[in-house]
Amino acid sequence: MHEWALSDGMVRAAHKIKMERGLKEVVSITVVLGEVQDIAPDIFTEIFDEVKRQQDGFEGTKLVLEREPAEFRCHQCGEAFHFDRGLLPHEISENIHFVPETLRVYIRCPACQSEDFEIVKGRGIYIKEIVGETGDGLDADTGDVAEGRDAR
Amino acid sequence: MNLNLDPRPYAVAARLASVRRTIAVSGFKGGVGKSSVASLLALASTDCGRKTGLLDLDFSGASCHLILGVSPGPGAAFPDEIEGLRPPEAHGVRFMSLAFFTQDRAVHLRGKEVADVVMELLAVTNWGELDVLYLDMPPGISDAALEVMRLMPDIEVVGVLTPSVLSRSLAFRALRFSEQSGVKTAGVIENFADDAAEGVDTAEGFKVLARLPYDEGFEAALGDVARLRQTKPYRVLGKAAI
Ligand SMILES: [Zn+2]
Repeated sequence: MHEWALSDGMVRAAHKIKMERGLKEVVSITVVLGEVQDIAPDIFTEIFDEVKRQQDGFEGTKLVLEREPAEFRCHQCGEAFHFDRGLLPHEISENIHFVPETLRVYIRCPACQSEDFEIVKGRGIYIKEIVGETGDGLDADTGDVAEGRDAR
Repeated sequence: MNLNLDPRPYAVAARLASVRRTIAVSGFKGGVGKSSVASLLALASTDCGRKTGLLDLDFSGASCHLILGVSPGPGAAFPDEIEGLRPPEAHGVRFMSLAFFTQDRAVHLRGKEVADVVMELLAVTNWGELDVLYLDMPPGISDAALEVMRLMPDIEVVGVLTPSVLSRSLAFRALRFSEQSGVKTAGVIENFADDAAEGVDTAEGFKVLARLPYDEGFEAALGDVARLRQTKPYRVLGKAAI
């Protein structure tokens, strides 16, 4: 699957943060999936469970997925608008799934028909939060005894 | 607190881990034949038995697919979903282009969007093992070109220029700029070359890798690989093995 590459990047990014914060284990990763790229949560979770085995300290990591609705703004007339992904033909929907910017080929500003608009929200995937354990019951950031958790 | 961490830069290095060499074919003035040179280099490289990839990063003027006779669209070649996107082969060249996803329609992107598409393609394209990957670079020293250099610091730039004074002056200035930013230059390829310059092997301190003669039949051969292989520029590049 195409999602494999993104999931792989996500675990590598999380690994770097784990090292930076001196975490022994990563308890959870919260990932935001944008409506435009439209990654299916069940597929992403399945791939994550496979990819996370590449790195130590992710065995018990829980994946928390949040969905971010798309929001567009026209560069020409300033109109803010949304879209209904369900209305797009399958093939076009797939193209946008692979490269979200191609959306600009397929939809237009409803007010002025311009193709020059910006994806303000909901483009792709990003990591929102990583919660980890340092193993000695200390918060990795502050040194406070905070249930052994480091969330930021 | 929101980390707002983009996972894609972390995927890029992993996707390119089995690529031995990446050559960024750059042109600093329109009309120098950058895309043709990039496509011919890839074709010549694959024809001499090297595992070769070609990535078209010149989104506003995407034309490698036209040069190689690949027509994106329903039922035609399309990347496979295998641990990312595995590029289809065009005459032996593993080929990736935004054109696959736009149904060959033009898409006008702003600077940040171009950088986003560059990053997306680099993060998800599963090249597998390659001896060499050629990049048809965005024109000049644009935001997109700088983004490529940031994400792929080990690229080697090949500058395409013509005998025109303007094209040379722009190219040499740009190559010196990218060298100052730590990007290596492999050399230059002179397109539409004069016979007069024959035998000159450096230009302003840059190695001249090949000098491609003008071929009146070249335009007519575009899109037809069998005919491209008969052209003078192809034959020169086949021998140069860049
Ligand atoms: Zn508008």
